[in-house]
Amino acid sequence: MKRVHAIWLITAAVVAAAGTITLVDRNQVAAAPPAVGEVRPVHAAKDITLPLDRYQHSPADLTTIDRATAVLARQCLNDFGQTWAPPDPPPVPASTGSSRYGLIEHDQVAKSGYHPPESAPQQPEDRPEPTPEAMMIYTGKGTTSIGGKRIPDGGCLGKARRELERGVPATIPATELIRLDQEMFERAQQDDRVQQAMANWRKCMADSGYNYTDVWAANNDIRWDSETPTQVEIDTAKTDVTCRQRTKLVDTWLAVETAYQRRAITERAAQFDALDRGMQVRLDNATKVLATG
Amino acid sequence: MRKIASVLAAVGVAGVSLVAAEGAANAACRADYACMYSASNYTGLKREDFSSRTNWGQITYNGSSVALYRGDGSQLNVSSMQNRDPNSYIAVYYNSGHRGACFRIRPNGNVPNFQTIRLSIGGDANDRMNSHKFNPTNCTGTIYG
Repeated sequence: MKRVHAIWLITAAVVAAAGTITLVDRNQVAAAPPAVGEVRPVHAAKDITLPLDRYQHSPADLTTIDRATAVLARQCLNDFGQTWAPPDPPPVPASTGSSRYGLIEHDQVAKSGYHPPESAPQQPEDRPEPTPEAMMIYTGKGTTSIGGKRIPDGGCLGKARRELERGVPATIPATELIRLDQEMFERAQQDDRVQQAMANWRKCMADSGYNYTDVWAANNDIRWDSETPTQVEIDTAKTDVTCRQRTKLVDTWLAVETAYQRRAITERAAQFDALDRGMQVRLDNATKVLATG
Repeated sequence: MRKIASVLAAVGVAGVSLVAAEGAANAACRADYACMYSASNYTGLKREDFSSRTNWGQITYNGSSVALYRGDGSQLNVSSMQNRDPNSYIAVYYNSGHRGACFRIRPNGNVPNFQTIRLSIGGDANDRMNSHKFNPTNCTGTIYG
């Protein structure tokens, strides 16, 4: 009896230990930093592209989608007898590159330090103002019906957007993508390889008399919150960029985050495939609307 | 393009509409503006802004001395946001100067609660939001709203 009991106990212990080892191994594999591929030099903000970027519509696609939305919303407003109609939106501006890792380009910081580059000034546009009633029907913020006609959920704008989503498979919600994006960014920043590059940057900066914990402390220095950049700001920013280049900080950061994002996408391959298909369906829907509208 | 002429009269010296803090969040967010709120579902303190801003730590909710960003985890950091510009995306960045990780809010789009975006490494998505920009060209982040 005792012997049987002992054997059972030994067996249970072995099984439990094996289970533990399996769990530990799985956790270690999941937590292990991903292998980094090619470390490409980053000379300009345009060199920064990440795996998640391809799951966002391009500016040209967004322009098509926004214009199709306006066409559908106009048709809907017309059905309500409204004379006001949302105008065609202007083109979504082309990307000038990513500011994800902060300063990159010497020429830029020599002019403006940590201040963001000047945007082209907005041009006044003379467009007809909607009446409050038209705006209510357009946005759906108000009564649920007017003149006996039911206002769609979210107004004509909501209806237009739903029409463009027809056939788009349910997949990762925007909040989850934002969470994932930020989390990969943070994980990459905490990764030992980036931390080492950041330590090298810190030393490089300190050697020139600038003592910051990391690049964000330099970027967010409240002394830079002035109308125009001071000489101190410009000098700091120039040293910052020099140190980034000398330590290959941004090159390393981009390579490491690329690896984290690739792994995240692989782990959710089916969802990202659906996201990819959905983008094409949405764009096709919009193209058809513009062709017939 | 945003219609500047019609807005100038409503804009204060600092480019911020001077709506009283009390009940401000209940007032509708006006066309062409970005509205940032300290609580979810467009409640709490409100900032109505026609312009891009480079540092939320340096600007305050309308009629108050409370900054939009008061450090990680502050309850009064921006928790919901509306983009009432019909023609412009707005990018929101996790650092000042329109830098760092970012996401976008589409024209006439709304984000009812940033705090629902919980990070597995700790904190909420609204912990570090620190600047915003109309018509962004340096953010390819997820589009919300």
